[in-house]
Amino acid sequence: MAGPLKDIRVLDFGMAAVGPLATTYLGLLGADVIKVEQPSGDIVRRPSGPTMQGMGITFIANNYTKRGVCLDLKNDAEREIACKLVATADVTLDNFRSGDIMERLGIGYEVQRKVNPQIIYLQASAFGNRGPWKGMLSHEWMTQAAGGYTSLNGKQDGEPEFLRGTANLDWNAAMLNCVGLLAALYVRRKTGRGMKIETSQLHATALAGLTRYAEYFSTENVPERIGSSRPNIVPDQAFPTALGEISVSAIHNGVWARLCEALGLPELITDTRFVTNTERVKNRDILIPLLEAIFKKKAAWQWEEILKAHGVPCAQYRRDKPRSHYVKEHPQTQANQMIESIETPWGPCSVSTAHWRFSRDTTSIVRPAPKLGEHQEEILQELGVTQDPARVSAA
Amino acid sequence: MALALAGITVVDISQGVPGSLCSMMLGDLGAKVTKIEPPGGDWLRTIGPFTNGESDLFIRLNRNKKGVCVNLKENASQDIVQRLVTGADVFIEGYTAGVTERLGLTYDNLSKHNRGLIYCSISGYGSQGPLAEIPATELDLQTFVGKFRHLGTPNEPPLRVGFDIISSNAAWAACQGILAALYSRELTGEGQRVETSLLDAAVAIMQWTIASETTPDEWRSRPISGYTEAPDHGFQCKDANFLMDWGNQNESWQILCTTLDAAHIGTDPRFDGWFKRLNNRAELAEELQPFLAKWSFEDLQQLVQGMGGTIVRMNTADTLFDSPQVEALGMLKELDHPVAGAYTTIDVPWLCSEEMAALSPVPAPSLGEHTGEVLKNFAYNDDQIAQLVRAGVVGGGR
Repeated sequence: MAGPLKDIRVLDFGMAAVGPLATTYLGLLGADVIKVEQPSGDIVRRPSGPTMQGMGITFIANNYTKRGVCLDLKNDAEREIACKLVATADVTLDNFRSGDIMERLGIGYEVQRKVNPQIIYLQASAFGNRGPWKGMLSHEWMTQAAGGYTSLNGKQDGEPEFLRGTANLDWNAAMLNCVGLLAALYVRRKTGRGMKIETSQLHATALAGLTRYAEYFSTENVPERIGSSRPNIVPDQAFPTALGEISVSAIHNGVWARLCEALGLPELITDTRFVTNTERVKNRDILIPLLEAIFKKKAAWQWEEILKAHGVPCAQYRRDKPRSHYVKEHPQTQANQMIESIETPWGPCSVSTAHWRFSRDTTSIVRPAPKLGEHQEEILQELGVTQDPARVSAA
Repeated sequence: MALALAGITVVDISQGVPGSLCSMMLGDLGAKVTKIEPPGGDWLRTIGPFTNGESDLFIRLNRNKKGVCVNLKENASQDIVQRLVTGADVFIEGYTAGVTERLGLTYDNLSKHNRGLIYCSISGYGSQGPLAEIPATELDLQTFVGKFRHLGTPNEPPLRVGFDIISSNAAWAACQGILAALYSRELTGEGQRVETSLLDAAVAIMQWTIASETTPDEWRSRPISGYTEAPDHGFQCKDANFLMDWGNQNESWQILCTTLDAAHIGTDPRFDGWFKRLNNRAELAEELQPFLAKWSFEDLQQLVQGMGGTIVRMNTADTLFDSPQVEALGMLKELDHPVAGAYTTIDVPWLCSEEMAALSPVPAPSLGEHTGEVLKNFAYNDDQIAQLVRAGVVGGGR
């Protein structure tokens, strides 16, 4: 059986990550996703950062499952073609800096709705469509700063830190955009009504931070950054061992008791100073040195065996090979088929597969990211329109 | 008109962040959620800070749910869960592999009398493989996928990402899986099992990193493993750490540098163009530092935004949530909890032209607050309920 969205067509006017990833997820669920690019192409096609044969890996990694057309939306005839495509689509999406851009291009929600009353249109800006930050261009690191993501990263008493060389918040926003689109598709299935959805990366970031911002909302204390630890669960941090470090999280009393047994310190279970998480938080400065002394006695890999045997959540800090190779080659990601090497026009590329496994529906990567305008002819033919060949900007 | 999931009922037996956030979001989309907690309660209830004894975290993540307290380790509990699930559309569990078998709450068991059931598993590492039975937390998954390699300094203790970014995304992933399965059910009439995990979410959000680190043939940028670089604290002015950018508008960039009395930096080839400024940010920050030191963030903001650039403070909770932007977007909502009182939380992330989602003001339940009410709805009478309470199978009420 094919993916649940096999009859759904998606037009992706997005670029970079926040927009395109959301539609890639719909593609994994079986939707026919068409990436509509301007003649200049998605900005992340540019050969900056890691590349394959001159193509930005960001583009290759963010756009699989899609077909590609190239339309100059500033040209009346080509915008007309885009509108014809909208008429055949179920979902459209863009992540321009604000909703004004599609309006200005003459293909905003009202125009789309005129050609397709049931259309679901998602506009995903960085900072929303109101307020003093509206319209500012953004990227992952801007969002890390604006959303307070950096404020919780760093040493105690140190300065806030960006995550260097990785991006999380583009993905977080894309994940929430995908939730919104799936909910809207469900609504439309039930009621026949499409809708416009506006989101911002700022809002998505704040929501992902709710578990830490709860403290601020209730106490007005700005949540602290404390190295590998956190203010409200003890212990939940890295411990140095005789060789390497290990993360240990006693998230509740059941785990705490198992941890005490595993460390050979059963007397701590009933020690009134540590008997609840609240007490452990209060007596952190007594407890942590006690635990540190024990962890120093064995290597991280030995502790990992012992703790796992006792059902205590833990993980070794591994630095013995590049991190992505470790994750990609790990029997755990392999057993669950979480990463797949796909053939692309630019060579094989390792990408994450669908992040869900269904018992009835299938999810699959039906094709790699498209070359610019790769499916121009095919898609225009489906539409029954011809395009002035002189204006075909496709590569 | 109604919310997206009006008429959908959800039974959630998970504990902790991912399941709670997922069923909260389903609730905001209009589903009726029943949360089943063990006699000690979801462990989130024990995590501070507390207001009048209520966990500030728990009450935010469990709004709008009915609370039933059931000891799933008691055999008699199986019948209760079976009955609840027979009338439900969605079931959520967050155990490691093998536990639902021991509890008698597998997909096969629960779907026997409910072919339309959507059974969602949110585990730590997925249902297959050597780690399937190993419990996992946010920090473990951050460690496993190497998040610490993007922060801190080599040879110093590792740092964590402060957000529960993997747990949150596991919640979004579970919502997607459930919504896709609900959509599929509209087409086929059949439910199914859908599983995701913290590891699935962690791999999904490091997609770019994995692709970039394992497959490139050429590098034109800062290395992916930022771990070998110095920590990045942004630019610093008199009163804030911040980031600024102009895309490729070199002219504005040069005007700014001139305004800052640093015209030579504006023409420095190391910082010529967007990618160069991004990739050589550490050097740029160092060079600009003396010229930024006397500026206030507010003045800089006016200057940079006025020239069409982007400038953002490295916000902390207070500067973010007190910002005019958060106010303009209406991101925060004030709700009420019967014990904790008025509390602030974050609104749903979608602004829709049709009714789809709304922050429900119904407060999080106390442990077992609705045990009696829910059991009565599923044909248990008062005597039977009293008996179940005495036998320690269920707990109820304050």
